[in-house]
Amino acid sequence: MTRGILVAAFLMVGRRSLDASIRLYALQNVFVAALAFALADGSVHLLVAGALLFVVKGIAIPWFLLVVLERLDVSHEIESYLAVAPSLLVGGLLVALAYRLGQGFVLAGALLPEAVPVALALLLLGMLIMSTRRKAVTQVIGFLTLENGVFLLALAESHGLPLFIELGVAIDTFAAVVLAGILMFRLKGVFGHVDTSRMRDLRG
Amino acid sequence: MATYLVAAPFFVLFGQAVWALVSRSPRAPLPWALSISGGLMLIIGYPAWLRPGSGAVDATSGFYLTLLGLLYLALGPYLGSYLEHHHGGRARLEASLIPVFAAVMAGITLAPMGYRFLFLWETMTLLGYVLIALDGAASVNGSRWFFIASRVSGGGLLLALILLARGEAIDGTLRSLVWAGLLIGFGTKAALFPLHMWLPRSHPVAMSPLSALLSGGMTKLGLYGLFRSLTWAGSPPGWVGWTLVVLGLCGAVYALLRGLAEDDYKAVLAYSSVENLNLLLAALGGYLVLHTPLFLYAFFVHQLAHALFKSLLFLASGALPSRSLSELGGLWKTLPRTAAYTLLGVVAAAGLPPLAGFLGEWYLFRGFLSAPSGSAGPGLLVLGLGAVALASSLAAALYVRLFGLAFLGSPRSRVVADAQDARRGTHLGLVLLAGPLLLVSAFPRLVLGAMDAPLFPVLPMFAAVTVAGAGLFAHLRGRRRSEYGPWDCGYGAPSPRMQANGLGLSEQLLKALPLVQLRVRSLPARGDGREASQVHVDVRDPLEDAYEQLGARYGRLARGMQRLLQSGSLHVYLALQFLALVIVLVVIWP
Repeated sequence: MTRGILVAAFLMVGRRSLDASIRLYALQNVFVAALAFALADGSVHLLVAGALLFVVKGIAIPWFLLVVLERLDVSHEIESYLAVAPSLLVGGLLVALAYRLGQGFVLAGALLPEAVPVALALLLLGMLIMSTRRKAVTQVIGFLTLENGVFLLALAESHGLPLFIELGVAIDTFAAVVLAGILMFRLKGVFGHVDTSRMRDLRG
Repeated sequence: MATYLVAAPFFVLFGQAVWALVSRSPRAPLPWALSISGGLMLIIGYPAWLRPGSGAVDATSGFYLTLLGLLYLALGPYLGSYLEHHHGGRARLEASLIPVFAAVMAGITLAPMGYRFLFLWETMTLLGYVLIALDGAASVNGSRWFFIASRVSGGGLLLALILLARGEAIDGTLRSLVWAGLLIGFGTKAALFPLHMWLPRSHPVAMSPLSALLSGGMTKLGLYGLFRSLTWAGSPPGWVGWTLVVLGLCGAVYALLRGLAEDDYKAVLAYSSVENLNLLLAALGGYLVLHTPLFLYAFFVHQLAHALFKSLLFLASGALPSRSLSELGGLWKTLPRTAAYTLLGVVAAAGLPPLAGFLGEWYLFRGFLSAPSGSAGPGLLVLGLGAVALASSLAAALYVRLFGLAFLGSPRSRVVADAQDARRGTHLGLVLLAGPLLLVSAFPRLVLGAMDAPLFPVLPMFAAVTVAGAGLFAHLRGRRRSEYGPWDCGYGAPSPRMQANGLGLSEQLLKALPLVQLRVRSLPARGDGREASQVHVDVRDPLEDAYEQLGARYGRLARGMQRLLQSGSLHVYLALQFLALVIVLVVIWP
């Protein structure tokens, strides 16, 4: 299942369609939620966290993003500084780096040691997506991937964070995405586009 | 009881700082606060220095507390009357910040190694910067130099103290690194040769009492730091001593040559400070190489002497109507008191025998002479003898020129006529510095009591020189003045235009030594031709040029980095964060 998460994240780097990226993000979360269920072993805490993950990140956020994308009335193509092939190459290098470094970050008593490199890879791929893609929507997706990496790391290294923090983070993420959606509408309204590479005038 | 006594001067100073912020007359108790705290520091510090282990502080702290106490004691009454023409917010700020500055300087001599020391050190440099910058637009450039130097110094110290504060044993490369940090950190503050550029730029633009406090007091703390480092960081690697000796001696000669080309009265004094500090650093270096106490005697005696005579000279310079030497002249008649105190300071600073300025040089000579002959390494130190001799003769030339141009001859411009001589408060301040200077000159045991140092017969020499001088004076006075003959080649009524200009006494000397290049051009005569001719001196200094190029290059680099880092592109910001993340991951990889 950890492989599934990695493949879903890696494919995001290679796709040129925004819809596909969002669906891949949803898939990623389904895998993470399934992982949480599998690890739960009867503990309520992980079951709740997994369910929450599935509902908020697996369904609500992707659905919201798709709606935003539809309403924004911009092309559904990903515009990137890097073409597909170099993106995949850099992504592959980052995954390799994550696997090379990941072994060293496993704590004693980790619940799922093999997920640690995957979590690191998710972090790095999220950063890659954020820093090379030009549309504001893709920045949100990159950020969400990165956030998933953090969650997975917590899950892999320990028995998950305390439930309240988990809850808070999930709601936080959702709120951030909603805010980002509103911001994107404003951007579209003011500039007529959501291309962050064209916003570089410094003020003040 | 003793601890309370040590805290007392700090309470007095901070009390004044708070008083100045809240009261209607912020300046009124400032002289008392400074003088009382100075007196208390003397009471604490001097016995501790004279009889190590007896006081509440150790001997080294005791020495520096004594030095600072003497300065504060004299500075109090001087500041009281000097600040009278400052008003409003500035006066309030000065009356509040000067005591804090004084307290922080004294605190540095008592602080243990570590973050407290670093905190006080940075506070001192920051306050110094603010106090210089308070003088307004004219001092902006100088205060900036001060600030940049303080960053360099702080950087070196941070490196060294963090390594030291870990408390682990340091040896090998780490020890060299620590000492490099200490040399840069304290050396910059003590104007070690290539790092001295800030001093002649920032000290002259400060007001005179502040110049005295900076040159007399603050720079000594750099020396204090280096001396203290011997206990903090253990014995230094061999290169430290040699670096100090070589750079110190080069720096002394260089600073004097540079000072001989300077037109600004206070800048000449500042260059002389650089020279003295570099000699002191060379003395410390000599001690590290040879371990003969002669160098330590020089180190301590000359520090106290320099603090006294340089403060005396700076305080006396407060009465001068202009800082430009080519506008001064003939001040002996308008400012007789100032001239007398300046003469005393100049004689001491030029290192003439009976006064305290000579004693340090004498120990320095003896120290270099004590180098073992024959062996290649430490034996080379004998060569330092020549450098010290050159420096002391150049120092004499520097001060003859300074005093001659400013106080002798006839006025070079009209500003001289309006000059006002020292008033009561300033006069008292000068007396309080001149007194200890004469006392230390006549009785060096007052400083060296604890060290059991060899001395030349000071008192007989003092008496002999005084009697001979008085006799010569009486003889010259009693001689009949010569009459002007009919063929006196037009010198019958010498006018100011006929006397040497601001560079007249040193130009030939500087041309003989090709270290600085001079371009002199005369300006058209002003007024009715009765005033002295004005010259514009353009000094080219290879070292300064190198610094300027370095600065320009750094500026270009910084602008380039700024364009890169602050481009406004979201993706660049994100990519930089990304890069940082990857680097951190790789670095902390277990």
